[in-house]
Amino acid sequence: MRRHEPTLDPAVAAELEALEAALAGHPAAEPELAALVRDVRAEAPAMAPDFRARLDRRVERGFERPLPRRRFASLRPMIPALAVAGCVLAALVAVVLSAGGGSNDSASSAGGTAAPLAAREQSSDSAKGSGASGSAGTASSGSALAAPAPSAPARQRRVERSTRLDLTTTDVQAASDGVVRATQATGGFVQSSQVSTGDGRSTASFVLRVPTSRLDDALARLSRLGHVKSVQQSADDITNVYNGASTRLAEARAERRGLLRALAKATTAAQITSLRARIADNRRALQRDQRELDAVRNRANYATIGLELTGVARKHATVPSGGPWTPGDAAHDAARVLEVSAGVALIALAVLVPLSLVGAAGGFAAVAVRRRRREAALSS
Amino acid sequence: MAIDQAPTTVAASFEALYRTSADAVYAYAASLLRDRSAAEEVTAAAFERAFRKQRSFDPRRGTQRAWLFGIARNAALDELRRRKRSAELSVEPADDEAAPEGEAEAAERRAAVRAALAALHPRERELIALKFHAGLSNAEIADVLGVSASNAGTRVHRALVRLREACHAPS
Repeated sequence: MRRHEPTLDPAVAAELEALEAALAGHPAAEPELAALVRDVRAEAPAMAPDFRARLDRRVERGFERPLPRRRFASLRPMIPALAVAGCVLAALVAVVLSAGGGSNDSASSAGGTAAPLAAREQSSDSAKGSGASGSAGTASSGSALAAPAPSAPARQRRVERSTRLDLTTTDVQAASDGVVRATQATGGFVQSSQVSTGDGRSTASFVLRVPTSRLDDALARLSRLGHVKSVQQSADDITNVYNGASTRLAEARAERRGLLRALAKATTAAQITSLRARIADNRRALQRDQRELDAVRNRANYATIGLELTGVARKHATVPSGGPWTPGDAAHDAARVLEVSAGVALIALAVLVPLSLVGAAGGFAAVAVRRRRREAALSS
Repeated sequence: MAIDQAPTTVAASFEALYRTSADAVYAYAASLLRDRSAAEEVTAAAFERAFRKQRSFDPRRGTQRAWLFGIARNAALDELRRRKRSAELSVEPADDEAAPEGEAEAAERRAAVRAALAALHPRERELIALKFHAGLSNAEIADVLGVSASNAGTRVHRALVRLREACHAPS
């Protein structure tokens, strides 16, 4: 659509009309103007006959010699589409890379899903072979992986392991049932539990005891019951405690054997009474030392898992990977795909729009410069 | 947007365009360049470009002749830039040796017109060529020059006035 054009001056328009009449050979045209038209036309440069003949032949043959075509000229119409595809691809790569970086971050932080935890399990298993150090202490999830484990030099080192696991789930009750099943499946037991469900936030707390040798298996099973919000592991070297209790028990037994031998040799009633009193004291010491040793052995053989389950709304929860794939899961996945697609499109737009603006500005500038240069040729 | 046409129709259309416009294009190029050989090159190049691009012609954006003269103009201006030369008259002078009796006045008038044309600014000479030789309307000239129709009319009028003044100027 053309802009509104200013009208010509009436005098100018009249003269132009007269010129048009003269050019058209109208009988009523101004004689002077008609003569000028004739004279100017008579002065029109005429083609040389040989050039005319050559040009006629070229036209008849359809300009056989093609103009030198630019390479990839056929691809020019596809340039916008190729640019869009390139930007989308770059955005996709950026999204994938950023997503990969995010999962690495979550693996090293407190939060994470079952997959990072499985990675920790492998690290933990491999760390077992390194043996236990003499010091004991509590460590976060990262340092806990390198904590001493009691397996290799089992007779020399005794290690008490404990884990704190925080999960979020959309169904606390179902997850609680899963906790019990997972604990029993690994040969452990629920030491204590507290489940709170209501209109508000549902929570559940568990203290689980599982065989230390099955701790990693138990953690893997438990972490599949929800989204792992945080996990903390600690290892406490109780070798000295164990050895002390064991030594005291051995000493008490030795003392009992000595007292029994002395009782067998006793001849007087007073000796016998005194020895029996000491034997009774020794029996109580033996029982106490045995209980102490059993307790220490239990601490080493059974790991403690403190588990906290927190109920969350559906949109904040991660679908447990172990359950069946339901229509709800499909809807969630579809929404996620749409989110990612929208993100990719947004990034592509963010790249494409400035590039297009710069390209368009460059194109307009190039056309304007070329036009100006051409016009300048007439001015010189 | 290009118009889809059958190849034979396109070829016939171009043939007709060539037959009706070849002389005018050459005259326009020669008026602009004032060099016969350059005008021949430009004319040939213009028709060849038009032939290669004929499918890109869009009738909604102007007439076929305006489109052709736009191509010719670009080729001529490119040639002018390349040669760095503008208004050197090398057009063969008209044969005014043997002007018959009674035509002497006409020959004298034509000589004055020739001198007036040579004295015009290249832009004005271009407008005279487009109007007198090519016979383009003001709207078509506007398409060729990339200006509005009223602006083209004003320019044509100004060139005509200058031509008339130059014709009546004492030699």
